[in-house]
Amino acid sequence: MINVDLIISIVVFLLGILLYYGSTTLPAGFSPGVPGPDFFPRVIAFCLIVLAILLFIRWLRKKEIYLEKGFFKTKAFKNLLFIILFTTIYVVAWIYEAGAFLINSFIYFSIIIYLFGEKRIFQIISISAGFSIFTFYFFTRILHILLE
Amino acid sequence: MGTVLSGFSSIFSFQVLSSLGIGVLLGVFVGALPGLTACMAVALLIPITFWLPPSAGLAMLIGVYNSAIFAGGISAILINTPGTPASIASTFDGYKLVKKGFVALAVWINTFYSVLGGVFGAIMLVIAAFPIAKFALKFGPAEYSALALFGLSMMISVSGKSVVKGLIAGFLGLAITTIGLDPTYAVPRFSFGSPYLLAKISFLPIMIGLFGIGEILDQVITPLMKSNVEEINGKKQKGFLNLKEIWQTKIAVLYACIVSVFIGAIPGTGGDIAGIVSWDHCRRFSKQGKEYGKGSVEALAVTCASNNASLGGAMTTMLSLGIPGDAPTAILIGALMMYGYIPGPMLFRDHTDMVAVIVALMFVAYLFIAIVGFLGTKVFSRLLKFPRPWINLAVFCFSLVGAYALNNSALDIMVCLIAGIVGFIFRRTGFPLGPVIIALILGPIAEENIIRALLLARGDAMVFLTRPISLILIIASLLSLFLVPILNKLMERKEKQKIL
Repeated sequence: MINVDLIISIVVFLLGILLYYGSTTLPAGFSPGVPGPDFFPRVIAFCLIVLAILLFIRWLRKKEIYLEKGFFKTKAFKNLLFIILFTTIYVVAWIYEAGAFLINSFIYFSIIIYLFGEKRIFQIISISAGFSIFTFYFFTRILHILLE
Repeated sequence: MGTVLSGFSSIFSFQVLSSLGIGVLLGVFVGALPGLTACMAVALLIPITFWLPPSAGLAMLIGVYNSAIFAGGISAILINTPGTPASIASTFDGYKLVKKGFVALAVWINTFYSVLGGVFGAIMLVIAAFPIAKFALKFGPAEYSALALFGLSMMISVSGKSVVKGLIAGFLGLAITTIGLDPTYAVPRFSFGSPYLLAKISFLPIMIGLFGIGEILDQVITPLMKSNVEEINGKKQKGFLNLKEIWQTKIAVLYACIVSVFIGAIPGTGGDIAGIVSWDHCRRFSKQGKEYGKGSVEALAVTCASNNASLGGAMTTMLSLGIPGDAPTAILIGALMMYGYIPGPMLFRDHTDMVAVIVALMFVAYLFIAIVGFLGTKVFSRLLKFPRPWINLAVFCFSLVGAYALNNSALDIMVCLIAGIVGFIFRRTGFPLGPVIIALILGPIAEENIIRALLLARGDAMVFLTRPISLILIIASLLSLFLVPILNKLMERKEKQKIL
């Protein structure tokens, strides 16, 4: 059993602390009675800290289960990780203009649709090719964006 | 009235009607794709409409604008991803209705009530343009702040079972809005020297990621059970509402339309705020309020009608004052000026015929939308019959395309992906998404206007209570936060006692 609420309450609490600390580096108000750039981040940080404590108390009272033990070892979760990994690689390649957009897109869509559950080779190739061409056409002809 | 009728007679030419038809079809395509917005579509068509006569050019622009808002509801309902920000509220009940198996019904409701709301907005444009515009002019920083706070109070309403989690989600959304240049003092906040963060993280990639990518990632873990479509699409499911059922929604829908026209008229607000406010109000006061958020027919009707009715308000402000009600109307002002017409009071005095043409185009656009929508109901509802991997890939592809197309920045795609992962985690751990979106939309409006109001009032916080509209909105926020839930609980207790 994974104590999701406990983990999230700790993460939110830390985020609140970080946000509050970050707001102390911002200037205070410039006119009397008027909040400065630091005001809203501080209010939000304070609220996040309070809410994190309330979530922690809620977790103490009723420990709800969201993720079963062994969730991270399931095939579905591994597929999820691969989808995120390949999408990240695709986007990074896009940012750094590595390779050709059309070929990158075709490879990426083929992998993704396979991970989504499509196992038929012909469908994988044809649909990936179709989406790649659509994406390329849309960017270059409709939005007039230069792509490799 | 005679002027409006003359407008109708002016637009019945092949060129104008075909331009309108092309605009409507393009708008359906753009609106249904997550990430491609009505604003983008209108902007892309400006160079084309430059070569057309004014009536035909405006017909194409109004057609794409109105139908994009309608079509945004289709993807919101079918794949839980709003096609346009205006359709965010349609995800609250539309997708749940589809998950119950009522696909054709949900699509029909989107078409019918979108047309109803749009026509209502157009009628309000005809009969109440100046009063609505005068009301919109009264909105200063204090009123905008109060409206934003009123909207933010709805984070609690859309939180569902866990208010604490809903508020955490909402405040995390507010935290994201603080990244970038401070709106009043232009002080960099939490940008870490990055030009991308300094320009603020765009709302649209986050919305696409949370709803689109996040939903698909969730379905990788828990595949959506295929709805028993054959059984439901047989004789049992009629796929539309009969007159009696439509009549039952009259009060909620009428209220939503009226509120939405006024919200749409306020510059800087649009169908997204109108839809959420209408949904929340009707949830509190309707007898069927308990069903809202669970696939309620009335709730979906309210949201579809409201985000289209707000267009009438936006057009009212645009035509009568020359102030854009939302981003697409800002572009429409440019188009009008391109043709030599200056929106504002003088337009009504000197070019009444053009105003009549625009009004007539709005009515006929909704006629076209009704034809496309009702004819396309079967097509739209059958989209879900495609194999799930294909639908998932399509959503992924369009989400990435949409995220990039906004600013031509690949970093927006990365933001979209991160938001998708967060959306997946939220779904798995019981955190609602509605509060995040509300916070992203209203947070900047609240912060900027609160500080501006205080600056103008030289630090006197009483400005929020001494201005009537602001005071009313603050009281309404407090009432909806505290009084309405208490009254609802008292009513529940009375009913339980009656049963016992």
